[in-house]
Amino acid sequence: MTNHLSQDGRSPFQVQESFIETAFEQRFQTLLRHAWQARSWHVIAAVPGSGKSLGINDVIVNSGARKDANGTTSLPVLAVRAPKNAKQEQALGMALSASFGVVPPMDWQLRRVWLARVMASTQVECLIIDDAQDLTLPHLAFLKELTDNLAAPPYQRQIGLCLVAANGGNVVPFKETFADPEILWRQFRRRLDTERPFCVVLGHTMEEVRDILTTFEDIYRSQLPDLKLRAFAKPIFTWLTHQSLDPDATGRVTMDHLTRLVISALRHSYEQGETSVNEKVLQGRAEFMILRRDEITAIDGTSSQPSFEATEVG
Amino acid sequence: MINRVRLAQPAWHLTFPHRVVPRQDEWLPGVLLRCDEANHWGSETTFSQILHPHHDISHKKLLTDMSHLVVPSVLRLDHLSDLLAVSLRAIVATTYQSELVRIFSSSQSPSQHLGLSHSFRLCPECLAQHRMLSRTLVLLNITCCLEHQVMLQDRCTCGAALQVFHPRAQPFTCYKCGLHWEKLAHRPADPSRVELEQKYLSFYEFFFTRGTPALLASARHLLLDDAEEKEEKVMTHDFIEKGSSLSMLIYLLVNGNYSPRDVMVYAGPLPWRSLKWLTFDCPAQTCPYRMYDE
Repeated sequence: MTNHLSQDGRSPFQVQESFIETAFEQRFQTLLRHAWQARSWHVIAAVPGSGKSLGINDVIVNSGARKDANGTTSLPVLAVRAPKNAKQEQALGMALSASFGVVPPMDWQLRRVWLARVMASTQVECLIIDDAQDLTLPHLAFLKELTDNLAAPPYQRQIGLCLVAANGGNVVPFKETFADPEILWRQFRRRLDTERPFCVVLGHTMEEVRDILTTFEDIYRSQLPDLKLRAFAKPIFTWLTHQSLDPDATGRVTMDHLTRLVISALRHSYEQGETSVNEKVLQGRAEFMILRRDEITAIDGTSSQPSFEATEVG
Repeated sequence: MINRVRLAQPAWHLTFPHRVVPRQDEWLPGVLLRCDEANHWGSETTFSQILHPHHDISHKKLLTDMSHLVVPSVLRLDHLSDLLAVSLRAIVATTYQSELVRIFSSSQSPSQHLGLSHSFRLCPECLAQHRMLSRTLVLLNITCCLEHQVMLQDRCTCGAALQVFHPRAQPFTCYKCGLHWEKLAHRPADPSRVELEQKYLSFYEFFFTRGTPALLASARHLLLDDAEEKEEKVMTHDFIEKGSSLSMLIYLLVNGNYSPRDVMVYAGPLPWRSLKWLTFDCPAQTCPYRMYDE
């Protein structure tokens, strides 16, 4: 692939993919680790774009999971995404199986027994279901059966459970479901943590946004040597808590919005040959996100033609 | 071989939940059954997983004809190597594939040239102590375990012939009554039989480590020379040249009271004149007759 240089001969802007342990991640991962250590059950909610999936990934990668050559496998934290458009319990069973690696095809009745055995033999201590808002009633019933089987002889393993869901409109997923008088839900409800059964992890305050901007300064200093983002914490916070980006009026900023704004502004400045970024550029990018986010762009010509351009038609 | 696979590595999702690593002198089915056992699967699961999808051999024959497990033409050993994150070399070492190809210089069914045991047998002690199925179990002349000096067993106490794999059995158990193979009878082997089989194994080891088509031809000529010298009519040229497997050749060599050293000397540069019955003590350090000693 050709490495296109920018106008001033610099190499293209490089987006850094490193995981940033933000204040949200600290709050979120503290809950996950608590569930892991105390083997407690929680429903954990946060608005979309908060960084839940990244946080889960960071926890499992650093959980000490390993497959040794002597046949010992350890998977202390097992995390899967809730199956989409697959309501049957088998779909969740398949997702859980796949977390262990290559598993030969087997009958579902055999697989549900096998799952309990392999979770016990790999010393699973905590189960995290991401996108848990997509779980169906059969999925939840299967989760209860699986954890009950693990808790019973011969395994006798209590495991933590975190149903991590995206929420909106100040509604916490499962709260109403588990309040249902049906036995299954009462049993589920009984297993939830006594002190913090339903948790909503909030986004970033202005101070926390300032800390993240400081981290961005460090990460991108090699490409933009004079970069100073901290000074723009207040306007950035104001833009990103605009009603269109914070419809539930939480007054907090998500990492997704913050990253999009900063990266977009940094890329634009870099491509203009700048060594820093100014408020005008940041504001322009914020306007794109807030005011013009639903605009439709017409794409014409071909990428090889100099006249290739996009025209806003919305 | 990768000692430890971490979750962040792509190999995590390309390997079995539990990995096993072949041991020294372990036979391929032993690795497959240990893999089944470690992963809580029934017997035959790992075997089926590495079976070539387009083979034309019946399932029954696959499970009973041991030639497919000695030189596994229908098994994807490279796939097994990926599934266990173990080098292909270590997997191939659980078969006689590379040895037989080298000895016979032929890729066409070299297992037929080896001469295999007609039934699956095992040492209950090896099972009990190490969960081990040794490669030597398939060799025709071997009927006892030299390490534990017990007879190899080919039948369960219920009378059923042992089968390496069976779709309804748990790993290392009788498919009919479920008895674990480690609980099969431990029958002591006759010391004279142990001594004889030690000689067979020395020859097998000799050919597996040094064997070439030239050495094999030389061993056959040694037997022919010997037959001519003794004016024996039983062993015709055709029998020795074409009709004999490696196991038969070794049987004849051992029963002719030859040692691997005799074969080496016969294959050497000097004409062989019944060296076996001569006293020869050459002081020269480079004497070819001293070759095998060194």
